[in-house]
Amino acid sequence: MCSSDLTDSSGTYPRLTPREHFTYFGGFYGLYGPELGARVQAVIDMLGMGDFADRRTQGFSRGQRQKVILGRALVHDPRNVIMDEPTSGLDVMAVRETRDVIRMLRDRGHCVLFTTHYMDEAAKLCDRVAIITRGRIAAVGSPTELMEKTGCDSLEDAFVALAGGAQGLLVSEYASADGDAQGNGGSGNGNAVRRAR
Amino acid sequence: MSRDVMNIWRKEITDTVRDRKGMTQAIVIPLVIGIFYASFTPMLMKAMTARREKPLTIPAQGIAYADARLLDVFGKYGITLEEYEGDLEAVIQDAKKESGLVFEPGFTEDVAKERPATARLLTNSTAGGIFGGGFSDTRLQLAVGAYNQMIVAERMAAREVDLSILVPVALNTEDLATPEQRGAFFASFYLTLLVAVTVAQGGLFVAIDVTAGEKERGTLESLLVTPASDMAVFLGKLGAVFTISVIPLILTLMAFWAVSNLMPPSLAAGNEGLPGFVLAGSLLTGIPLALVVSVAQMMISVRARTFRDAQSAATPLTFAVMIPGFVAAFSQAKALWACLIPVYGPFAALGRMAQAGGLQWDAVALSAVGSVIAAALVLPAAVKMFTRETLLYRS
Repeated sequence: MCSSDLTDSSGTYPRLTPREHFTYFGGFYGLYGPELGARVQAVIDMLGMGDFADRRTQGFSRGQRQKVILGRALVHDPRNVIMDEPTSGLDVMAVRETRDVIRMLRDRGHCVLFTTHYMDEAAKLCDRVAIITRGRIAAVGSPTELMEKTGCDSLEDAFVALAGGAQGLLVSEYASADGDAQGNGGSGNGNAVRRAR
Repeated sequence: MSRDVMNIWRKEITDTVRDRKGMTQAIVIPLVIGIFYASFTPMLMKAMTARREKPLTIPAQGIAYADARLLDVFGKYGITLEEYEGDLEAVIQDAKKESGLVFEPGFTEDVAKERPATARLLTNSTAGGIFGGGFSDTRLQLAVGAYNQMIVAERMAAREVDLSILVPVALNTEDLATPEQRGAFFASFYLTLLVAVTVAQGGLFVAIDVTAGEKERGTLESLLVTPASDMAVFLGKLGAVFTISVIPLILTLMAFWAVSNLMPPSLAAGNEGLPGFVLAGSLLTGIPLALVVSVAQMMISVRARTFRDAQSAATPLTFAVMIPGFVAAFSQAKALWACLIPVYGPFAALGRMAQAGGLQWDAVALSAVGSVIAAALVLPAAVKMFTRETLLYRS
């Protein structure tokens, strides 16, 4: 399997430890025995989970749970990782840790595709950004390209302009500029799909 | 696929075993019920015997007029008459006393002169309320019957008539029930109920937890995006539900057997222990039944969005399993083919075995076939409902 998905509704099994989570999910990707054990340990080390890898996830902080969710998506070492709003609803520390993981994955050569509503996050993490509004891709490019295209000095302003204003109306001139790029992000107005590569 | 099935099964079992609430419901409660049933039966028997043998004291008036031999017979039957001063009819009518016996003057003389002597038994059938039991005149009637026989025998002897002419038909009752049948007598009732309750409840919590519970926790989506097939996910989860259903069944039956066979004689009140064949038969019929119920529980639970919704949705299923068990417990099927009826058949087979006093392979086989056919029919529908899109986005 060359990709892995991480959805915004992901939860954890409260009576299993992170190590058991990773072992369970790793088993679905043809990993078993010592190889699986080694991969699980590698993910634990990669995410800095050594202190709580063998504790049941019941009572974990949001950040710790997010690491479990990330870890089980990464246990089979996928080339591509798809995340649906990975930092949504997290506290400051958990957001930083999640962003660090995304950066680390990018630096290791993984292709990370994720959705977010936070423009500063997209600006910091992404090589390419796609603005989705009303289920259609309104624009695609690097953060710098999008800012240049709209004449804005922040990605947030560029996003608002590209999304068609505060109401999320599709502005035809920008849409036509990237008219060949369409998608079905589907989740209402003003989502941005970012790809870190 | 088998590796994925085993992976899911192993995880669900680990998860369930660590869940105290689930394990309590799945194992401890049926176990306690089993022990309770097994203990309760002989104790109930003993209580009934004790009630039968308990001395009976009846308030009476005119005891002095009664024949002394009648009072002797009463004594042999544990009946004591207690002279009552006051208005006996009034206190019985007010339900302050359940019964009273009145001898009129001339009673003994009437007996001596071979005239019908009468005594009045006063009762109030409403005394004690609906569940109070009221007064039973059975023992009194038996005592009076014995006295009458004694007096008639004396009179016949005085006339040099053979007493046997008074008994044209002698009905001698012989109980041919084997010790195994006697041991299984109560089991045919209690075990049927017990198997019904255990199977209906044993895996329910797990079935809900691995489906609606996973949805609620947000873990199901992550599982369904793995390469594991829908069938593997379903079978792995079903395997766990089935396993957890069977464990309490085995434990409960073993507890039932142990308690009924190892009980001190003082508590057993002459009741035979539960024969091993009933235990074996209960397992052989209960395990395939547990499979059918597990599939049905999964089917219902998977449609619910939350644990609570699934609990509500599964309640009718619980009754659908328990009601046939109760029907079979109260009215045992005569026809062998009834054992083939899904859900009802296993209970019918259990009842037949208890009555027959041996393991009836034909009944067991038919009930197992009925259960397996039912499971095979329901399984494709359950798997179909487990397809990813339906499972995740159905409201």
